[in-house]
Amino acid sequence: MTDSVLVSARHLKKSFHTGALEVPALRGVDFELRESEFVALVGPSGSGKTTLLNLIGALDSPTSGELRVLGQDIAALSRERRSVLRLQHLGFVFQAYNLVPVLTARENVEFILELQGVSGAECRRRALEMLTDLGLASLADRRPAELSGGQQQRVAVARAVVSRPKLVLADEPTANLDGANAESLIRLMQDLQARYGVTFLFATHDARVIQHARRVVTLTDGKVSEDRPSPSGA
Amino acid sequence: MMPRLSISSRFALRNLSRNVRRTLISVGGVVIGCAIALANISIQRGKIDMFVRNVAEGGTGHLRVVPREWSVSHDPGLRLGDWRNELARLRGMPDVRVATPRARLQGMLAVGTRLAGVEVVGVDPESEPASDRFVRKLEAGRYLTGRDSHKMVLGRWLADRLRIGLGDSVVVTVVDWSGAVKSDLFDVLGIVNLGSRQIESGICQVTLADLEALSGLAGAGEIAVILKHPDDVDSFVNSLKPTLPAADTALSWEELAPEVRAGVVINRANSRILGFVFMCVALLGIASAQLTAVLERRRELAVLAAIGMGRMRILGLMFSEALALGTLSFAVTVLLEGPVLLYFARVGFRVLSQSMVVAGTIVDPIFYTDFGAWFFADAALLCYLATFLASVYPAVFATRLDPAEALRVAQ
Repeated sequence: MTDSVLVSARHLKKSFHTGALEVPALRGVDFELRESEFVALVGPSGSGKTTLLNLIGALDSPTSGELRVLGQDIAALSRERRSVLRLQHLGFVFQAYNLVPVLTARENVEFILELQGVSGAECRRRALEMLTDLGLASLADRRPAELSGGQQQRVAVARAVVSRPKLVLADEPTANLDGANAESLIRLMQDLQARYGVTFLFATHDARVIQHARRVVTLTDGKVSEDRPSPSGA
Repeated sequence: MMPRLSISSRFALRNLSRNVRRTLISVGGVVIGCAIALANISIQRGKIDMFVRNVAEGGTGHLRVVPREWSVSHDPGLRLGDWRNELARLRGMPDVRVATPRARLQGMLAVGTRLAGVEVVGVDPESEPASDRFVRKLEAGRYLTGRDSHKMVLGRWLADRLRIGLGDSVVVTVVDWSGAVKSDLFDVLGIVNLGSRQIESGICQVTLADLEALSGLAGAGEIAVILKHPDDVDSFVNSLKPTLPAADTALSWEELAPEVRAGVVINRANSRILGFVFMCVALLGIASAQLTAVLERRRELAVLAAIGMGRMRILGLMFSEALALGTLSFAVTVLLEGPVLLYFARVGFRVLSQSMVVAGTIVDPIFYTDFGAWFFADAALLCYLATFLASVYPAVFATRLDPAEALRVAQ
């Protein structure tokens, strides 16, 4: 494991406006994420976990403070440059899976490669390889509606890591899964982290997931209240 | 081997089956709008074809070769220079279906105390019926032949006005080229019935030789030409003009019958305005359905943006969907409307009980729609244009979605 910093946040603030009312979501976050880490972002609802993930994922711009992702100042990037950053270097796993319903499992995985400009045959080969790695080869031609929640989330993970991103951001990836599926998914993510060196940052409430993290960052009221190695993780 | 579609293309295509009802509504909107516009175009084209055909085959011709001075003075006493050679040359041209010579003379018909002013037309009996559909509608008697002398063919209205029938004699009085009044006796050989007083009152034909004798002027004053391909009139006229003797020129039917040309222009304008209105109505309907589709897919579009699909790619996806919708609409339009327009192009539909004269030209009681390669080209243009234009706003709206905001709202 190297010590190179993927994400660096300094005094990071983010507020939302509801009419004339300003609602602060992040109140000055200082945070660093290094390559190949497996980090759980925890905290009560409304503590700013999703907001922080959205900022790190270049989906949103900070109100103030500094946020650098893979060396790039997120606030200074245009919308198109942020889109390119996400496509080339970041992977996303959502709570509700969010697979494209009209595409099969393999096509969902292939799609990200096609967006990156990978040739058709190479897309198919790599997508099938990834699904095989994740034990989903037999489900490759099924559409999301024909898959269970756990299977859909595994496909979503395959989609997130197929392009070998530097960083995968997962927002409550196990929230809609039962215990066995949640356990299975987190082990899969650990395995991918170990095999490909992908850095995982995931927001979660799930104690079963937290115990697998190597580092746990706790957000409270929009600030990092605790940042510690996981007792059972590393 | 069929080329494999990209994932984006498959995505766009399969979206059509995602919400079948909405797709049907969108396709229905495009098809109805385009079908009305195409039916309107087809009827207008058929109507314009009828106007042109009736003008051309009603004696005017698609074009006429006339003395250059005639185009200014309209003097019926003017004659073509070497008309026999010119006629033979025109008849030898591959684009010419019929070329027929004529001469005209103002005169008066008299039977007892009954009089009627007419334009007496001297014709070539062999070729005239092929160029003038009116004289083919003989109610009684027969048409002229080259051997006939002092015989005439009259319109029914003229015959009724003079109270004469077949075999009756009519005194034709004219002023000849020298200014002398001249009269001669002609027998009625045939009577033409068109059901139109205006047209029947103008039909009084004799042989060219008889007209030469009456007028004292030899030769033809015009050569009417019917082309095999009426759409080529302008180019034919332009290519013919430089080859004619200096004293002669060629005039297209548009120059000879400006009132019909004006009618055609007005018809085309009406057709375009109506088509535009129908398309606007259809566009609003489709745009509404497409925008609803985008709003329903906010979350999905946000996810696509989140995983790195840039604005141009999202725009491309939306327009690919429009392309798929346009293709489906085109296929449905062609399959449903094509046979209907083809049927009415062959069989026609009756709109009048009998022929009428409008703006100097006859309007047939049965209208025929027009059907041809233009239908497929226009259907494709309209369907693709409609879906493309209707998709512009929803597509731009989709690219402007803030992924973080859309994901937040969707959760």
